[in-house]
Amino acid sequence: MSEQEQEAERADVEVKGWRNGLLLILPPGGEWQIVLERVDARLDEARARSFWRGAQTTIDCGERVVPLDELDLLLDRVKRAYGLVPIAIVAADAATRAAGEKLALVSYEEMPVIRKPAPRERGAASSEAPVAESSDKAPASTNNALYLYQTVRSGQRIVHDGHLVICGDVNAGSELVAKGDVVVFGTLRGLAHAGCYGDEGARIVAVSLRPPQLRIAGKIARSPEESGGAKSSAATRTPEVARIENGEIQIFPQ
Amino acid sequence: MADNTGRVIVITSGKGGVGKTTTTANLGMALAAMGEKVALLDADIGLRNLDLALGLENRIVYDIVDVVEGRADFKKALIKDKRNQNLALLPAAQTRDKSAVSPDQMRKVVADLLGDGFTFILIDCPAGIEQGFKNAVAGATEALLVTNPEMSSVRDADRIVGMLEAEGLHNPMLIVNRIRPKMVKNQEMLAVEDVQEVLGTNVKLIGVVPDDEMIITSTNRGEPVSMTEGSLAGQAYRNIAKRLKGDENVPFLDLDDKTTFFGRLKKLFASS
Repeated sequence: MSEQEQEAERADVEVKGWRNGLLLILPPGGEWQIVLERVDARLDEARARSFWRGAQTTIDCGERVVPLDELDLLLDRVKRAYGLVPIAIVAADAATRAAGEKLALVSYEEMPVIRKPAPRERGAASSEAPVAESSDKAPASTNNALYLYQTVRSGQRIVHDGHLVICGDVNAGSELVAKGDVVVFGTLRGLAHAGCYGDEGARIVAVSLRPPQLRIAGKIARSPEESGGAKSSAATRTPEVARIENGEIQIFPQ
Repeated sequence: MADNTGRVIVITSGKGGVGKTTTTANLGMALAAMGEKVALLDADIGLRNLDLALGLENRIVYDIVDVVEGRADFKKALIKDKRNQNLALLPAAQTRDKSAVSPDQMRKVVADLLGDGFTFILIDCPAGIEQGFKNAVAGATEALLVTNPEMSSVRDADRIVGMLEAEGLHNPMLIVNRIRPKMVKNQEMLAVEDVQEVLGTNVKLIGVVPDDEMIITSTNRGEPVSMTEGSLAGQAYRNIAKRLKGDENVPFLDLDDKTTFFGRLKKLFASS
């Protein structure tokens, strides 16, 4: 490993998906300018900047002390260039947490601990509080999945760099975008895009598949032009899977 | 930009739920049926509904935010209505909010649409008087107020008249929506004249639309009532479209309650 690479490594930034959106993990050392550059580089690994748009983001500073102006710079940058929505900060240092709060972030001293979603009662209301998978060991590979136990409502857009599993309903007017598969244990009425980097082998699975539109890789399929206002009454009873077959999105019983 | 003969009308109300979106969809459909080239622009970013009223929700690929942020050309984002090729919709984004677009960007979009040869551009304004309103009126040269015959709606419309004037949009047109002739007769509902009295003479009444249950079913189905014969509201919207095109002689609908014996008698005498 060359010296330059080592320097970049020291200031490297980790980007991963977690229970509550996107997690930006800052290095303990390294110059701030290089850290900012690494943030750009990491986010640019995804093809389009618009991919990140609207992603709720938590910034994990770890032991690092980040002054207000530096943090402001970072937030401004990720908001402007990538459309990230910073929501929380995790920092061991009290001044860093205070800086975060000044910039309207929710602050935590350490990563909120694993809390297995208790059955049933934790619905959408709990989505405000970050409930994390253990972030330390979670693989950042392409094979990671984001598991959400909530109702996805109109206007929400969930983007994940891997598979996306929603345990709950996905309502009309919402969007799911995943690098891998999209799996919905509930009714899918929103727009789903699987294989958003062009993976034509990606699938969309739902217990009740009733979206206005499905997208897999570069293909788009619309729901058939329904006759009359009975859109909501004809719920399918069997789980279905949508995948590309013969160059077109087709739907099969799962 | 090509010739600037197209008309750009913002459909606004201040208050929510008075029928802006329904009005936009119906007038768009009626004007297109009369041969106008119509673009409908949903400015209600984050709470889009115009696509539903037109039954086009499953065909949205790009939206207005994609256009202003340069991800798609406006021609690519426009959805042509299959029932009438003269009608096109530029949908709003649902996963963003009003701040995703600026008034200048709206003006640019409208100018592009005019340059593309649309003769009518109807902008569906969001409720409220904040940024969404400012965006919606930015590119407009005319305004159409929708109000219900009730005090809160009229008061909000009055506020909007003032705000429109501040934006240089004078003498807005007025549609009184959801009127119930029977209630007006029993003095339980404001009459059209009462609404006009509050809003003043520089607001020009262009139509009165009766309350009609068919609106609900047609919105759910995505087929504006102005497409179907046999709906009084649909007829009212078709008449408004004619008046919008400059035909001043279209008579206002006779909304008198014809089911009563007296009503029928009166009608009989009136026609003889």
